[in-house]
Order: sequence, then structure tokens, then C-alpha cells
Amino acid sequence: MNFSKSFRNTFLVILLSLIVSACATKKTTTKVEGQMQGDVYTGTDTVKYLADGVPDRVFFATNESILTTKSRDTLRKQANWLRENSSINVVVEGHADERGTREYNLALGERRANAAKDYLITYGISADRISVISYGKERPVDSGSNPLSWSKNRRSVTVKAN
Amino acid sequence: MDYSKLTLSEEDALKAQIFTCWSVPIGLPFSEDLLVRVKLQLKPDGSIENLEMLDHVKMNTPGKEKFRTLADSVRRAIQLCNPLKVPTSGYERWKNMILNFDARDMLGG
Amino acid sequence: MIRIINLFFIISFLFSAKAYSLIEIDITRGNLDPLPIAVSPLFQDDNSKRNSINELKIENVGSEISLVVENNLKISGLFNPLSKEAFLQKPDIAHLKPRFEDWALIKAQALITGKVTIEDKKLKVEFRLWDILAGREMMALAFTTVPSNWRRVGHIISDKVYERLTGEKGYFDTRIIYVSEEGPKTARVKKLAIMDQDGFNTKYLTLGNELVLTPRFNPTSQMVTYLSYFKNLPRVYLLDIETGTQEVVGDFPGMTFAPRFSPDGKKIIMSFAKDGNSDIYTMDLENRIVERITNHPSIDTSPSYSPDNRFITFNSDRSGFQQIYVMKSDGSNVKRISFGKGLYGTPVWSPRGDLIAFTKLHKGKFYIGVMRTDGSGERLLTENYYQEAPSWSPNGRVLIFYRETKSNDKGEGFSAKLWSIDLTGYNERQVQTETDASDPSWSSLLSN
Repeated sequence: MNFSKSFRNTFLVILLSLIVSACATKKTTTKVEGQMQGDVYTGTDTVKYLADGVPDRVFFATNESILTTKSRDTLRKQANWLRENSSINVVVEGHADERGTREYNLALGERRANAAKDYLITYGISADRISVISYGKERPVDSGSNPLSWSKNRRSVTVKAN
Repeated sequence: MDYSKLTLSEEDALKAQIFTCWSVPIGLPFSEDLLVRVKLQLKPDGSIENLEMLDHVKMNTPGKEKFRTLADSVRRAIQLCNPLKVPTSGYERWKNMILNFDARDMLGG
Repeated sequence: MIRIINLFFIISFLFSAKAYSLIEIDITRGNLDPLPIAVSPLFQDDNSKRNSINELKIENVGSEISLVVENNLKISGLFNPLSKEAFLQKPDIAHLKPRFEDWALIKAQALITGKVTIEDKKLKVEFRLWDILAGREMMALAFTTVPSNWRRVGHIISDKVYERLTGEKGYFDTRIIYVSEEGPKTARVKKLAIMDQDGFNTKYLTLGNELVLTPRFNPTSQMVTYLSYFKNLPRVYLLDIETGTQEVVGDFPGMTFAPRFSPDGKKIIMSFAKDGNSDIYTMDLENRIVERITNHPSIDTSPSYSPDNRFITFNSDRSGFQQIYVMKSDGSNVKRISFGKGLYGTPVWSPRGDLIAFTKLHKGKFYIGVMRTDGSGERLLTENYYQEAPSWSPNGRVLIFYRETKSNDKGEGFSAKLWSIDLTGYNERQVQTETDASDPSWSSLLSN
């Protein structure tokens, strides 16, 4: 029993390390460009700032609305800034890339915008101050048809509403 | 020789001719009763002496427009193939024949 | 049961036929070549020609109508309209009594003739369809309308001829509503536009001040439902094409989108997104009652009713990825029907009821395809870099959709165009539009 259990664990560890190394190689190849991690955009080309050091947008993987570590970091900065500027309200715009059907992308953009909104709320920002809008794939920032362009377009952007 | 039959190659040759003449109305639903039967009376040179639609009553029955469309296409096919290239011998065997036009295989695929 | 009886009759018939030693040959194959047809210009006398110029600024509206017919029949892929230069008989004489030998000589199997008069601001048209090989008239019809309707006259003639020769209803006297697109990809200006099925008579229904998407016809009236970002609030709207009146559908505290009418025209079905979750709702247009149909934390969108209003197909990512589902129209009995490789979206139920058309994304390619309503018999009709959103012709024979081209790294070379393809996967062709275009929706037949 014990043996088989520990064996299974070892097996699991080996499997995991295989997956990790597979990911690692993938990352290093894309990191050569220095702009994507997995297929999430990590560059700064399109980023604007709500205030000094407060980026206005976070990026998502294909078909995902999960916030990356970097996105959470950005959103915490936004939350701090919103706390310091309590008279400012924001709109969080959710966007998708062009590689999906229009209606599904509208829903996906809404899901992304809400992922960002929810994170701001958990950092103490009142829901009343944040509205969301999804543009689906209707408002790309980069008009190219390649993986890097698409990664810049899969985003949620926090915009001052007043 | 069985006088009631065509040889396989004779039958195939006739079929092949009619296949090329018959423009199947492909809008017809394959699920309906769409069999059109025609009785032909041929002259020795293969030209058509007489053409009889065996279900001709259906042609003008209300609600049977689809049958009529198919029957029309069959009539055109036979006119277009007239005269038929018939076997060189055995006129008595093929003087009269019935053709069963069945579009289901074409439309169902 | 009926089937068995039929079979029995056929068998007994075969046996009795054998007894008379009559040869029977089964013809189970034919050709699918387009039918050669001659469309003779509709005859118009000199007096009518003068009136035609006065009324329409067109010298020979009879020959213009015949061009509309010819073009429709050609585009259908089922007919091969013969060149008019080969015609031996003049239109007026042909219309009275065609010399069938002459038409058979140029290999025509059918002939359309007709006569047009314009008098007292009325357009009178009569036309006949002739079976050349049988040497007889197959159909004769006459109608009267206002002269400005002359293109519609051409479409109606096309529909009648199509129905008589193919055995199914036509789709020519119809319109397409779509989104007209202009400008760079990052700041696209979109307007609602409507045109005849053959690309003529384009009219713009909005000015382009706000983003508009996904217009869809009511199958029973001249109403359209669509998504508008008016005042930056994405909501489903209702538009009466005749009067131009618009109204928001329902009072939802968030984005409503992906609207479509029920086949009886009495309800709108759509998605409502709130707090990151999209579900499907209906609103009854008479009593304004809103019903929630799905309740699931996944994205449920792109709903479409079956023609009998009893079922709804939609796409959902509840399995983890976008797939197609079917449920009863009250939301019960949800079943996934797409199981092939890839993602599936935009399901639309065919007007015949037996098929669902969809968009599929697999390995970086987009496909338009059809499957039976239980998900079996998947057939992919066309593959491309990007295409989606099929809409059925009212007879369920043709699909119209939009296709986008790939941009280069500078974002150049992008275009969006409408395309159509037959259910068979043949006869793929671009549908001409004045501007770039997307999100097409096909109307029902305007006349019957």
C-alpha cells in the first residue's frame, strides 16, 4: 500500500516536473521577444497610465478571464490610486481578440471586465464607483493579425468616468 | 437467351445514356414518395413512339407539386435522350420498357 | 406503416410486370448540372417604352427585368441562363408561340417569355414558362404593381420559375440586413444597412454615430432586432424598418446582446450579461414579460429557436469550451450536441427544422458547417482564415455569412465581406455590398 502510494507520488512529481519544464521551454522561446508569457501580453507598448506608476490595463490568455500575478499587481495599484482619489469613478472596459465569434466575445469581454472589477472591490473599492462595459472584439488597440497583436487586444482597461 | 431480359451490358448502356440526360431537381426532399414510372414504346431505331406516365393522375393532384416537378424532369430527360441508343438486336425484347426514376439516392446524400 | 405499404405495392407491381415480360430499368442517378434556360427579354411596345423613360428613366424595363431574373437564376447555381445573342426568336413572337425547335437548337430546356406595359403609372407584367423539350407551357402568370417595383417583379418571376423547376420555394424576393463597415480596424464605423438579396437598393438605417451589431429580421414582419451601443449602453433594440421607430427591448441592468426573434415573431430571445455571467432570456413583445431560460455560471449565448418554437439551440462554455447545446424552449433538458474537435459557436436552426448551421474554430481555421439537430452528421461546408455567423435563406437551401481577411503586421489588408454557400457545399460566392460588411441576416419571402 505504502509503497504504491509513494510510487504514485513520485510518478506525479516526475509528471509535474515534465509539465513545468515544458512550460519553461515555451516561456523562454516566447520571452525572446520579451512581450508575451504563455500567450499573455507582458509588454508595455499599448499601456497608458491612470497616474504615475498606475497602468490602466491588464491582459488575458486566450479564452480566459483569470487574472495573472502581474494583472493582480496592476489592479492593486489601481485600487490604491482609487482609494487616494475617492471622487473618481471608473469604467472597466473588457475586450477580446478577433479570433472568436462576435457574440461569445461580447460575453467574454464582460467576464474579463468583471474579473478586474471584482478584484478592485476585494481591495476595498466600492462597487458603486466601478461600471463595466464589454466591447468584445469591436475595439482592438492593435490591428495586426498575429499572436502578439491578439495578446494586446485581450485586455481590460480601467478608464476614468468623470 | 432469356427474351424477357436485357443483358447487363445492354442495361448499363441504356442507364448511362439516361443518367446524362436527367437533370435531377435537387430541391426536392428525399424523404417523400418520389418515384416516377414511365412506360416507353420504342421504334426499332430507338426513337420514342409513345411515352406514358404511369402515375399521371398524381401530376395534377393538388399537393403533389413536387411529384409534378420530378415528373417534368423525367419527361425532359427522355426527350433529351431521344432517340435512345438501343441494342442492335432483339427489338421484341426492348420494344416496350418501364423506367423507374428514383431520385432518393441523389437527394439523400 | 405507410412506407411498408408503398413498398409492397412496388414489389407486387414489379412481379406483375415481370409476368408480361416487360423490361424494367431503375434510374437512380442523374446529373446535377445547372439546367440550361433561356430568359427572353420581356417584350415592351413603343408606347410603353416612352412611359418607361418618363416613369423610371429606363428605356427598356422589360429587358432590365429579364436581366434581374437571369442573374438570380445564375447565382442560385441550379440554372445556366443561355446567352441572349444566340436567341433566334424575337421576344414578342416567342411570348405568343415559341418555335420550340429554335430554342432546342441552342440547347435550352426551359424558356421564360413575357410582356411589360406601363400605363397610368401602373406596371403590368405577364410571363410564361415553357418546357422546350415537351413543347408546352408550364406556367403563365400576370400581375400589376407600381413601376418603381420593377426589380421586385424580376425577383417574383425568379421565385415562381425556381419553384416550378426545382420543387422548392425560391428565395429571391427577399432582403438582407447587415452591418456596413468602414474605417480602420481600431476605429471601425458601423451602420445598419439593408439591401435586396442580389445587392441592389442598399439603404442605410443608422448614421454610424454608435456601434451597432448583429441585426436580425423578424420572420413575420418588417421588424429588426439588433445590438446598439447608444449612449455607451449596449442594449438590444427593436427597429421598424418601415417607420424607422426604435425602442430598447426590456429594462435590464446590464448588457443585453445576441438577439433573435422566435419563428412566430412574438418573442425576442437574447443574452443578458451581469457580473461576468451571460444567460439566456426571452421577452414577449406583446405583454413585455421577461423570462429567464438558462441559469448557469458559464457563458450562454447565441440562442436560436427551432421553427416550431419548441426548442432552442445556443452556445455555452459550461464544458470548459464553447460548444453547441439544444434545450426545450422552457430551458429544461439541456443537451450538448457538438462533440467534434474544436470550438463551436453561432448555432442557427434551419427553417426546414432538420439542421443546425454553425461556426467552428479548429487549429486556427474557421469553418461554416451544418449538423443534424441531435449533433450527428456534421458537415463542414467551407474553411477560411476567419468567417462566422451563418444565416439561412428562407427556403433553407443557402447560407449567408461574413468573412474577414488577415491583416499584415501593420494592420493593413483587412476586409470584411458577405459570402453565400449552398447547403451542399457548392456554389460559394461573394455577395456584393457597397462597403465592407458583416453580420448578415436573411429576411423571409416578402411575397408568396
